[in-house]
Amino acid sequence: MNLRNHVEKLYAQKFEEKYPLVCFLTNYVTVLDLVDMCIHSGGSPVLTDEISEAHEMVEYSKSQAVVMNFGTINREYLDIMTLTGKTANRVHVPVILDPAAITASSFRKYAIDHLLKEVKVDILKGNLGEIKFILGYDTKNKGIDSFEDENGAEKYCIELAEKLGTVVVMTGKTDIITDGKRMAKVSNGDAKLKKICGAGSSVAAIMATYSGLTEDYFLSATVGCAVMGVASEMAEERMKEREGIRTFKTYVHDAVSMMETKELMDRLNLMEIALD
Amino acid sequence: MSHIDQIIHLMDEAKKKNPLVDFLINYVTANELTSITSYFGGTPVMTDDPIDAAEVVEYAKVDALVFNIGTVTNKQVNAMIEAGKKATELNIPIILDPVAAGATPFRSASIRRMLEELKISVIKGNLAEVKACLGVETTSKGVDSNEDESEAEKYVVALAKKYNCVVAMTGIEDVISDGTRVVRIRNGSKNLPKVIGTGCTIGALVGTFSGVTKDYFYSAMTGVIIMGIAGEIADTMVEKGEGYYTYKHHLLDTLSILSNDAVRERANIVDVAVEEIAV
Repeated sequence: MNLRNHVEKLYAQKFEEKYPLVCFLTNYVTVLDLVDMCIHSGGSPVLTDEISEAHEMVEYSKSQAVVMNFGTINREYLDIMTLTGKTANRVHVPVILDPAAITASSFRKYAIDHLLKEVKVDILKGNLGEIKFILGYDTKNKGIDSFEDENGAEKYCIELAEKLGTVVVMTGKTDIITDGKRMAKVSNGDAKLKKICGAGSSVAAIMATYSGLTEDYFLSATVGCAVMGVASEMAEERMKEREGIRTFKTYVHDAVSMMETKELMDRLNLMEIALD
Repeated sequence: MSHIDQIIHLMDEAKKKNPLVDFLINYVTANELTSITSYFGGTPVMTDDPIDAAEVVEYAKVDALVFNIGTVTNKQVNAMIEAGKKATELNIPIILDPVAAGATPFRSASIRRMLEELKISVIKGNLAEVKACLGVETTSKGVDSNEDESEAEKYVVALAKKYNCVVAMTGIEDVISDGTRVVRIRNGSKNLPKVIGTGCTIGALVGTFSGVTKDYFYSAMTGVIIMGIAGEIADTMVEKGEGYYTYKHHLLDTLSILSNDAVRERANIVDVAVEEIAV
């Protein structure tokens, strides 16, 4: 089976009513979008903010994936993420990390270094600026947005994947997914996605939901990029005159919630690249 | 008065009296809860800090409190206890939504603390949460229930009797009981569980109507049936190509203009004789 077939097969599990439980440690700005995307993808969300229960949540509630997002991180939340991540590692539950805006302060730099030292991350999803920043390169990031030239981005993704032993996903004009041995590129997506606050973090929520259904996180990461990319194209086609980004967001969510397997596969522009 | 007359009466009362509802809830669906309170005549107020939680209840003259533990922290539990003690002292109803009860020992302990230290008027949850409040083992996880609901009455009545309160269990059919009276509500839509926060929102509705009556069996019934009926009407508004995000808009729109007539016309309430329930 090639990657396309695997993507199709994993996506189709959405309709089998398995409801993978996803634990969210995320920011308070886009949290509703993330849990919405989880439900649209056939998952079931659970949240915790209390340090004395967070480390137990994954194990007791039998969470099948954990999403961490740095968007509004503070010291206590870093501790919560670290403890929860360690539990997830111990009970073999995948951790999906979205290091939002890590270039913004020295605390965030400390936070990402600390978390990556203590916790084995299974999927790290970021833009190119964030990926380069973790590797110690200079970046042109401002807040949550990346202004990097994405030509040659592959080498940074591979470098980080090898360094951390994780799946790295770079969202950009073309999304790159690699675990250092395999690489996929998803060339779907409408440019207006960048105008929706939370579209990037929503991709992580979708990936996490599918990570609850497979142990191949390279595959679940690819499905996440595919779903979001194709959904934005379906949303674009539904746009009428005078409709703006708010309506576009509604249409993206609608598309994620209703997309049939065939619609995904018909539109999916997926390339599998051999790595030597 | 028949059940439906009681329900319509409470809808009218809330619009006339504008009950003040104090929310100590999760931050994910907070906006939905407070919005829908306003749609039905209620006025929301919120507090998060133990330092003023009790004061707000008394000074602001709160008519009902809604506790939701979806993203609860130890600090928020302390705020709930402070506010709840004042409410218990002043005989103000507390509606508890024990989201994901049983998911961690912390949540179980927090719920036990509230049920033992406070007078809770209505517990609203799915069957898994109802069982968790009773200390019964459940198979479900997180916010969703995958329990078999065929014997739901048994657990609902047991919990109502144990804490001398009203229990509103939401499910495929909703079951409401105060320990002696039991009804099943057969309104609703299979789309409602696909929208986050519809369960929490029922808690807000129950809170609003509990602010204008002392018979919480009926305020619980009113809150539950309104969401079921709004779900049915929203179903009829969905057009081709629309998904669950648009469905949520239809649902909120419907709630904001729901008429007494629509409720009267669609209400499907079945009385269950308490002696028929296998224990």
